Amino acid sequence: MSKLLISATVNGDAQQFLCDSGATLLDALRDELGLTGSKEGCGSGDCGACTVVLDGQMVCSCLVLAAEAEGRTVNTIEGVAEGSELHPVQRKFLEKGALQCGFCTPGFIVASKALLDHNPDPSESEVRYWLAGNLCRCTGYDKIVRAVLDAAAELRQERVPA
Amino acid sequence: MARVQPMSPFAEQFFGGAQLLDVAAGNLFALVDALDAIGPGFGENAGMRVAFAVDGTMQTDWSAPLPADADVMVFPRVAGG
Amino acid sequence: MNAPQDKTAFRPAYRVIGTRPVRPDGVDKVTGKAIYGPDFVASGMLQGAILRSPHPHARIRSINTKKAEALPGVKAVITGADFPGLAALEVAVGESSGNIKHVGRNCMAHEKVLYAGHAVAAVAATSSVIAEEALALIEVDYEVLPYVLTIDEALAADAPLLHDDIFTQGLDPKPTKPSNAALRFTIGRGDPDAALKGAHTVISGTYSALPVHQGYIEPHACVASWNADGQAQIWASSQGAFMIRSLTAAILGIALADIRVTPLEIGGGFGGKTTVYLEPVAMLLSRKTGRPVRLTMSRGDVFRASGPAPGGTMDIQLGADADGTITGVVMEFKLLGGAYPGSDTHPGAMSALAHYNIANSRVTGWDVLCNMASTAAYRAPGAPQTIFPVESCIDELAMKLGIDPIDLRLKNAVKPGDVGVMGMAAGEIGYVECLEAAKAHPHYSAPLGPNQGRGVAGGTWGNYGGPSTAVVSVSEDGSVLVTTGNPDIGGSRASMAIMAAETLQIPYEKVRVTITDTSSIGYSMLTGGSRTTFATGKAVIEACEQVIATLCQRAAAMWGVDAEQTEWRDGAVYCLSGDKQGSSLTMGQIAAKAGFSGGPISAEVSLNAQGFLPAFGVHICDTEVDPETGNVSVLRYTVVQDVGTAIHPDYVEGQMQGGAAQGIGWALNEGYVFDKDGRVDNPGFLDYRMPVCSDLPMIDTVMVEKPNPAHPYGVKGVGEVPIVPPLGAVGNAVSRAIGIRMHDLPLTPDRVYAAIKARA
Ligand code: FES
Ligand code: FES
Repeated sequence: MSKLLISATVNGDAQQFLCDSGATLLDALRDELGLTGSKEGCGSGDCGACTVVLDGQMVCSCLVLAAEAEGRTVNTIEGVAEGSELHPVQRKFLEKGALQCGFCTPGFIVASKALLDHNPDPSESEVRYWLAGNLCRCTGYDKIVRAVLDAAAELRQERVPA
Repeated sequence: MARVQPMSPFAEQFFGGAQLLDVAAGNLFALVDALDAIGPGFGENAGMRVAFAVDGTMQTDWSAPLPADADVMVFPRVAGG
Repeated sequence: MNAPQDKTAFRPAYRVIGTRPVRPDGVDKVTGKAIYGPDFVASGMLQGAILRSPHPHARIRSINTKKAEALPGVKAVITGADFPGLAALEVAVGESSGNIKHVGRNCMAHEKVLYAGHAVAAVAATSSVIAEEALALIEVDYEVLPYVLTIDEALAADAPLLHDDIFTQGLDPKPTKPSNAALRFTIGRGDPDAALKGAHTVISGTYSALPVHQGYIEPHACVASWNADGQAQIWASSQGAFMIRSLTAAILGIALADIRVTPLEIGGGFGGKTTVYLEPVAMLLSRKTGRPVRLTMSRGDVFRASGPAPGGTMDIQLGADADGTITGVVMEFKLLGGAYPGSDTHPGAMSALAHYNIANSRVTGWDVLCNMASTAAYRAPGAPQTIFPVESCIDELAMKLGIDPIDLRLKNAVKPGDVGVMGMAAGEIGYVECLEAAKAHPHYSAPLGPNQGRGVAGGTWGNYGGPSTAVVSVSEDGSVLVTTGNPDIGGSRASMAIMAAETLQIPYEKVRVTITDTSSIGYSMLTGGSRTTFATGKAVIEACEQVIATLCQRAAAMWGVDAEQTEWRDGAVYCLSGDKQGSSLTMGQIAAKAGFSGGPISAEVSLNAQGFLPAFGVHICDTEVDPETGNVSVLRYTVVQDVGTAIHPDYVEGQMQGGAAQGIGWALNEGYVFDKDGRVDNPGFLDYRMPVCSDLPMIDTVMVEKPNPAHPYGVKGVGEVPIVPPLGAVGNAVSRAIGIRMHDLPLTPDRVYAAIKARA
């Protein structure tokens, strides 16, 4: 079976990779591009550990074919920080102790950033419903929700012109 | 003499259901040997399956000296998560 | 939202302990850099895949691997026959090594498969696609056997037997016929039958819970590389690299020093990663191919073939005086251990009544085998299942006698000095303090609306200590390295760094923590049993104390005084007498001169930690039941727990909240369902429904700090007990909301609706 050559913009960089026609975007990110920050918890769209942003849209990369990324823009957990500057969501996760094992964390951070990009002032229940596709077995979600609400507040502060 | 109380399932498995055994031993290593003489096979099990309480406190250091008239409970070791 | 509350009345003043610094491994984990089990890549690595039985019980007549081997890209195929150990162990086993035989056969079936999902063959190939194709080419000839999946089926007189060499342990006289009941265990004291006869009120019932999965989000994964010279390396995520080493070495019959296991970051375990599934298989594939081999479980494999926690049935009778004093309890429970003898029966029986001081009791537990994956530990193994009926009966008793449920528990609660069923006097335990804190919490007195109910439940777990090793080294610039062999599953690097910084009286940021491989440090028991902060923490503290002693000697030598004339303060040595009196040398100043005195400054401490104490918790849960659908919503939840001393409160609260969420899932949604062919019918997160973010409220925490005198900083294990009370707390809340006692978990909408209907 011959492989497909795919060109896509990944975390701002032009990338090319080879993949089987049946390979998922998650497989390609992890195995071809070495971006193992996106995790496979289920492979069926039920845990959110593989969450990435594809052309501005939050998706489970285990449900997207790698070939579908052709010509598109993919943003993963590895691209959330600006250089060595953590995104406020990442910083708040650390400050609030919002991770234990950390395996779900990349998915939560990508999903939370996507929420705040689109709704800068979510209520607690908006946060909870937005993140309902991301499973965390360690934390009971309490500290995750607090971290996201705190990050939202901080981002709103930043946006206020001085 | 230490007063040894083997609990289920060791009492049935090695000591014919005995609830109380008097054993002379200077520490738990010696006690395990003595119990193995009474109930052959106990010693081999002790390493993996048995926990000891001496005078009401869990003791996992078998080399610690055993008080002359210690009360020793022999019960199943339990695993945590 | 309620702000977390701390109860710190008992605690001495610390500088670092009790603060909430960012964990040392934090940045790697929020940026995707951390390497977990499925992320590791070795040079020249092959991809492995495992063929699993579709039948819950079958004899393997033959396996033909020829076609698979012929597929281009396939480098090796193995079956049970390639495990020389499996047959040999069968001959060699006494009782004690039965355990290893079972672990080995659980990794790869030998002659019989015991559950749908049991491994029968494995392949290594140049890609996972080819490996999967090869699996389809392996021909297994099964003689399908009848199977058992419930307690009644397993214990029926003519039940098909899983093992013909398992005789019920704990029966007198010894049985002569093999049985699916692997163990009967009884614990008790006094005369419970007489106590029940003479009781003012007797509450009784039959309760049940389903098997549930630990549900860690990271599937099992490993890479193994076994060289021709006999030396091997394994990279895997687990709760203990030393555990992987000992089990793999025993199954394969190789020397411990020949296997070096490197722990990768672990994506959750909760007890489920305290055994091996893949490592021995990957090792054999590697030996056959001469290349490193990766094996990974799919989520379906995780549900089908890795350890659920046992479900079971629990019969209970509880008698009390008119004033609420519990006078006698008789309880018998049967747990479904799965394909091999399970581990939950002993701790389940020992935990069931351990939080109350009851003069007359008898608790009998049975470990019952069935054609489901072998159960593994799950957070306080056995205790949630056995404490659920106890806490339900106490709730019922409180209602019947018109006593406040917390007051009723206070009346019977175990206190320091009370002698338990095992003849041991309770140490500095804090159940009473937890109950008092729960009673004082605003949640407990908040008003309830229609269709709402409030449940309270307590619980306990024994915790553990045991063997651990830690190394503390002072670098030439005075910064400090702490090394341990305990995988960091929920922030333990941070708590090790905090305890080291506290002991050395230096800032937290000056301490860095590494979790190292099995060839680089002395043995540590696995991260489990809520033992790491207690036992490995003790080793870290002692190593820091040795380092301080060395630093004082070196400084004394530099000043020409006795070490007694020096004092350690604020991370420096001070001279107390002589002409240098008042001078000080920092760690950096002394360490820079280490090469001119006794050499590098470091200490390795190995110990066998004694003096651990059990943990206690009290949970309060408010639920609302929709009478039209039977759906239960958790409106408010509070966890009160005696935590000893909270080293890093965020991660202590995190354990409390996470354990509560798992318990809520067990109570409301989770459970194994089997199809008509005996296969797990819900082997994915869509149908095995764990709580998601929108299912839960904030989980309030109250940390009661009653220090453990046997630990320098008062640490008690905190990780496991939080999963114990929720089954009762949720059950009691729902029972009170609908006015009907609910006995069977999970409390799914159909069950709750049926109960409401049946009354109407
Ligand atoms: S791995 Fe994609 S949703 Fe779970
Ligand atoms: S932190 Fe472990 S799954 Fe979320």
